[in-house]
Amino acid sequence: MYSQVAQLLKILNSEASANQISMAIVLGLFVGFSPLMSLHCILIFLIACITRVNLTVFFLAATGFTLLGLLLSTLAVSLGEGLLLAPSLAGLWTELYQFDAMRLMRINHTLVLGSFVVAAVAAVPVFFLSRYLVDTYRHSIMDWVNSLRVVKLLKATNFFQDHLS
Amino acid sequence: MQWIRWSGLSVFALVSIIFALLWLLVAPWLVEWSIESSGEKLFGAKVELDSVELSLSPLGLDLIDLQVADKALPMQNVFSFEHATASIEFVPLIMAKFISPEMTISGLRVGGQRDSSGALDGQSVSRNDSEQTEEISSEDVMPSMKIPSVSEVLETEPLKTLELADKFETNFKDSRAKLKNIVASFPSEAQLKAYEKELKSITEGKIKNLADFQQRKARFDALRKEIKQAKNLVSEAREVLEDGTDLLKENYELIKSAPSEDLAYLREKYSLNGAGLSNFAQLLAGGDTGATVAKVLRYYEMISPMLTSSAESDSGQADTQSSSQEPEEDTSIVSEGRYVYFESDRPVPDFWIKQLSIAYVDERAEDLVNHFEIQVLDISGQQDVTNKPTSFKVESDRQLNRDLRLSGELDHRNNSVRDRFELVMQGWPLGNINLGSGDVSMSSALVNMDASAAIDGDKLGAKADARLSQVSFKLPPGENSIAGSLSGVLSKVDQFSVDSIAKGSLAGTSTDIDVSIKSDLDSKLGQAFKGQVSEEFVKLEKKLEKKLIEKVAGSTGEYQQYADELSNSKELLSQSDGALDTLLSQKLDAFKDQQKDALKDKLSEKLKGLF
Repeated sequence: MYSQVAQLLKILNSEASANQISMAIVLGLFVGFSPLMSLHCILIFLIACITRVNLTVFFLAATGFTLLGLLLSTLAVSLGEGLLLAPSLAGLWTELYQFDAMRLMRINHTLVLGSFVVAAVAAVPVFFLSRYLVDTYRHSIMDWVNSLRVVKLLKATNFFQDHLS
Repeated sequence: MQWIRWSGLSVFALVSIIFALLWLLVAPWLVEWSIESSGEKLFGAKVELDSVELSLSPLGLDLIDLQVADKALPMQNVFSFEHATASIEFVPLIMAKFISPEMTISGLRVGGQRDSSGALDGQSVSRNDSEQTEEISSEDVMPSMKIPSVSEVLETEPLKTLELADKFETNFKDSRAKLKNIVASFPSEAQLKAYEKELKSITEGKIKNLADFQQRKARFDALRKEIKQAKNLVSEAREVLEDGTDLLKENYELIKSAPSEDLAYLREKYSLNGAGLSNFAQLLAGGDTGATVAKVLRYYEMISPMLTSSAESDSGQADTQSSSQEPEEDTSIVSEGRYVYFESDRPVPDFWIKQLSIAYVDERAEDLVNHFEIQVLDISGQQDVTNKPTSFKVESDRQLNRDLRLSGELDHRNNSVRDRFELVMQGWPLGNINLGSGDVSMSSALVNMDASAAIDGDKLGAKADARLSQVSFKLPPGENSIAGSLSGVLSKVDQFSVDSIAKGSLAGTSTDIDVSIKSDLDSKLGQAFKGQVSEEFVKLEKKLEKKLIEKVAGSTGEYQQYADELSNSKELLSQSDGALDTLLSQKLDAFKDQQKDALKDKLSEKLKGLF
């Protein structure tokens, strides 16, 4: 926990752009909400690796959204159930089910689909909210935070000096 | 700023390789663990797999030395095999679904002893089929061939005659004691005369005055009270006597017919007329045949649920979009989700062996080795997903002009059961078959059989027509004439046929199935026994009849004499009752008239004095 807070402070204080950080959070959102190992998780991990998003933020976000995903699982299952069993969408799902890629993504699993839809709906707001918060932090709060005694103590620790400075 | 970080590809590749290596390292152990744990859940007994080997090209599994213990017989296996090879589809495996296009098993053994108990910890062992069948066969199917002695029969059989005779004796003694008390207590002739004399002294002569009248009245009242008491006693005695008489009469009627009923029962049980032994079909239903049928039914009951519910994924119940039935809500589905399956030409259930081939060698008998090719198609617990029933066929190698073909289809789609089985046997040699009675067996025979069975829902309908030839029976040494007769008849039998029909419900126990077995051997045996009823049995029957009649006579011998006594007592009571009634009514009326006259006279005398 201590190291995660230190890492987060380091990133927020770094030169990494707000877009890189926000995109990492959004990608973490998708992976964190996905309950099972599936193709879209691997694809998102690949995207996180080859794009210049901040990997540390990606992993931190994935961890955080996994915990949130557990809390929202009942809602996600209901949403997935409703979508998969909707008569009007039966044709679409049946068509998609014929593709191996779709099966590998487990779109026919109520929790996977529900969580994916929740993540997709939340992605854009989360992106802009993250970017706004990072910008706000850097312009208004960063100096104040850096002046805090606890932050100074944190920065003075061996761990911060050795790994994050 | 450049958005692409090509070095990230190497990170991705490195992570992927690490995951793949870890998976390869852990996969055999995971497969072994999942086979053992899910197998134990299904069979309710230990499932032990020695090792699992994973091959990558082509992707496949080798299972080595699997043993599945029998829940009912923990020291035996349901089956075991030495080696199984399965090819696996890669893409479904990524989705944690096991789909094997082809699987072959070698070194299959059905049954077989285990070195250690296969019972799961804390699991009680249920009784096995052979024990149950043995019980049925020895108790119900085959009549005993041992001739019991008369005393054995009388000691061990619950005979009506003995029971009723004892009851009759007890009632008889009670009734007699009661009668004795009644006779002692009701008024004697002298007593009646004394009442009459007293009444006469009260009512005779003129009433002199009021004091005389009052004295007479007091004596009259006392006497009347005494007579009434005597009358009540007589009425009670009459009731007791009549009740006792009715009970004894009823018991007497029952006991008179009891010996014939007991003899009929004993005749049936000990086959005194030989008819029991002529029912050869019953013999076939017991022993090894009955045990085999019970075992087949048990295996079917074990396999059947696996086809409908065993392959539910850990994340919830499987469901198909085409199914009209709404899935049941359960907490794991609500929180963990479930798969919804759609119609497809390439269905992906959780578990599916598309083709299983087994080379099976049956070498139970020393001189009888049968090779079978077994092929099972579409083994899956989600037939609604595969949209295919599980089918199988078993074929013998057709050596030495013998052939056995068993085929079937287990269709559990759309929440219904439609199972079909066909069996054809041509010149098939049977090993030694125990026929339900300890020592009677069919040591060899060739069978031609056409059998079919269908299960719709829980309703079973089965039919089998068998013709047995080159039959040889093994019988116990002729301890008595019936065994000798049976031996004599069966030794001449070279061929016979057996036709059987079974109908019933599989929802309850196997006893819900109504089985009808007919054999042309029945009539052969029946004819033989008709003319050969053993003298020993006739003697036994006569002895038993004599004993029972003696018992009845011993218990009821004094009844007729007692009945006369009862009749006399009743008559005496009736007379006494009549006499007492006469005393109470006629004399009392006369005395009342006299009292009235006296009062009238007295009144007129007093009135004269006034005027």
